[in-house]
Amino acid sequence: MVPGKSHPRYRELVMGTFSHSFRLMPAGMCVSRNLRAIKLEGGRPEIVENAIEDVHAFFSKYEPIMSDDLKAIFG
Amino acid sequence: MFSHPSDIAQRIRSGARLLLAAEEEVLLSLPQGDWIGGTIPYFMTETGGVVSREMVFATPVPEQSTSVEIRTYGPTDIASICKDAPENGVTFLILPASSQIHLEFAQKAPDFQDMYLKPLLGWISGVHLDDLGRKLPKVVDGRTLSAHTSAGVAIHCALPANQVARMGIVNLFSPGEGEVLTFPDGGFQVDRCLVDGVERVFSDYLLERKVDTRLPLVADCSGAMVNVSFQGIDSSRGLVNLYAPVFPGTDYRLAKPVDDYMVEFAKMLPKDTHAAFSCNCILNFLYSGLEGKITDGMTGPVTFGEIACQLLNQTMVYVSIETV
Repeated sequence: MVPGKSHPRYRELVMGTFSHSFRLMPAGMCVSRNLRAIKLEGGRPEIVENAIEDVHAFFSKYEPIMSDDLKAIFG
Repeated sequence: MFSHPSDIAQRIRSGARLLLAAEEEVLLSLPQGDWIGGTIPYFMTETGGVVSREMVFATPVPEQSTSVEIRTYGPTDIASICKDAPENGVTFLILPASSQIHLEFAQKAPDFQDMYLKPLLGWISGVHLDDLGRKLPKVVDGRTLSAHTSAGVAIHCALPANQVARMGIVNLFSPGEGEVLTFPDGGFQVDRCLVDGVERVFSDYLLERKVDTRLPLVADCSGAMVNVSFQGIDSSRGLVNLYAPVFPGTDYRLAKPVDDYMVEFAKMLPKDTHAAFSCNCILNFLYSGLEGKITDGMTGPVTFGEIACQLLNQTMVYVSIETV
């Protein structure tokens, strides 16, 4: 079960304070796109919330094929 | 499969839904049907890398597909490609090299709606290197046998709920130990860069360092190694031309050299993966001498750019369909 959006690890991932090398390639690209957006547009709350939403949606959809990544991220 | 056009024609007539790669004249000689194609005469086949102006490489759409939809996209509507894709499926896209839609996709794809949420992969069509400047890369919509130089052609495949498309890449390049390069302005043509935060003329930096431009820039995108390959250095204008755009806000490094492509490729090849589609880059084909060499289980067109969500260079892209 993918943790809800309020899990602090999402914020850490998109802010770059927690880094993970994804085995599932599109997951890495998705997180990287959001890291870049926050870097360029600043960490305004709405930008960060959109990024968390985006990453959570990806994790929820691809949970069945990214269990190793999710375990490494959320324990 | 690498086949004679007459065999492919027979398959099309019997209703096969195919992704095709061949020279333009060959593609346009095929019957109308549920296929899309792109021009290229370079292939990785079961018996090795091949250059052929006569044969066709055909990849069937995943047999698990419950429905397929072929669409053409122009520069003004390519941004909707992932939105148009089925909720669960995979979309294959072919774009003609050096066209406006190629540039548009390359620079904006990461921000397309539903990008990454819906698997999108494919390739950039090209021409025989002897024909550069004389022929244009094209894509073909098999339903109408119409060839396009400024539009892309896609096939959206819906998958059942218990199947998922897993995209992957095999990229032998990784960031070297050198300076971090960032680019204040994105794009295919670069003048300035920041070298560990210090502004430089990028072409001066590359020439001073005597950089081997067969090695790409590499960005580590949270584990996804994304290459940007060098097209050339225009020292008189102080410009560096690239085969994919660099993006502001992304850290790049020059790649570590690769000793032996085939040895490293074999090490990185995913085990127990049955690729439903794969393609590899013309620069890997040329720089690593892949003609006659076998990339085990990974066959397909050799391309002027690879698509795995976004445009990639010097990378092999594949997709497998898994039961979940």
